Amino acid sequence: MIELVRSKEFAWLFLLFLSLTSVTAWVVANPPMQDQFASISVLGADMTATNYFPAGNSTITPQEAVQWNVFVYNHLGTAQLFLLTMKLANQTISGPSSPTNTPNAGKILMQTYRAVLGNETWNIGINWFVDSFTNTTTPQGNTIGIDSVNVNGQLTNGTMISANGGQNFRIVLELEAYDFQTGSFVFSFRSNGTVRSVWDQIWFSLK
Amino acid sequence: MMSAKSTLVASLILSVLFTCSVWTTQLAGEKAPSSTALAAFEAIHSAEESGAYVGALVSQYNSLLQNSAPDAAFDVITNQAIAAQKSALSAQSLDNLLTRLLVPVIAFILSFITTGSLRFRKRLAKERILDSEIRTTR
Repeated sequence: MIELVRSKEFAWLFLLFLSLTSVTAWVVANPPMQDQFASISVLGADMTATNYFPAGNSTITPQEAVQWNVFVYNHLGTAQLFLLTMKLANQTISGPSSPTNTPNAGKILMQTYRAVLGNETWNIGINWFVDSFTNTTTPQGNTIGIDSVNVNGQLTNGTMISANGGQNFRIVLELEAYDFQTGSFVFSFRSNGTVRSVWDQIWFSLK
Repeated sequence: MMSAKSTLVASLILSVLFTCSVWTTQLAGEKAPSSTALAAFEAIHSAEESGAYVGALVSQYNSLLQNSAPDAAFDVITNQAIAAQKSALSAQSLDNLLTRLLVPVIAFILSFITTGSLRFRKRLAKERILDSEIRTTR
């Protein structure tokens, strides 16, 4: 037996098997890196990407309830602390901008936080309606200003967002994640050292 | 007398302003997490990076966030995460040790079996040749 172990044949085979088992152990310990991202998607009340508003078109009336289902998917590899912000804006309010990672400058209606595991989807039900508005008629036409919005039973007053003829309002949904490097929330997450933005917006009109 | 009156008016204005600001800034959803809550999440993240499974901790963390729990509750989660990280790190070091030991041991066993079987085959071949030579000489 000792003679067998001392042979040249054994030495060469041992080197070959040692390199093979080492490579196998390294591959098992270091799985290939996956593409890291987070996503946000919105579906209507019936869980489809079609009926976002009760009347079937994007024009709503005050007190008319709108129901959405928002899905936030975490594919960043580890658990993340997400912040979902719902904003009211019109056509002229700036942002959100992905190239500059700038969030929308509209009025915040709702903010909700959740720790989401890797490969997990966070489902947020949103029920909202325009509670009150102001219609101002000028020689140039009428302007409709949304004064208050109710989101999931909580009223946000003083929104003061207006649009000509009540056209082109938008609800912006922005995702932020807690950034371990800076110790603050970033819009929207850091992947391979780069901050990337994720947002969604749905346009509507008020009559 | 005048100063007492003006103080009363000022405090009245301040309270009205405060009420208005609270009324106008009221938002749907949860409160922003406190620095203690953020520290708890950082501890969970570190535990996960060390290889610990943090599913139960994350679920506990979310229920505390939704109920706007006091900082003391988040401190409990931080301690649990630190404990999970410690046990994950010790399990990881044991795994590393086992891997380092197993790699040469497996290589040794495989080369021993292969060398032995190669030699056995050679011996069988030699025996066959000898048998055939004996047969031919007879």
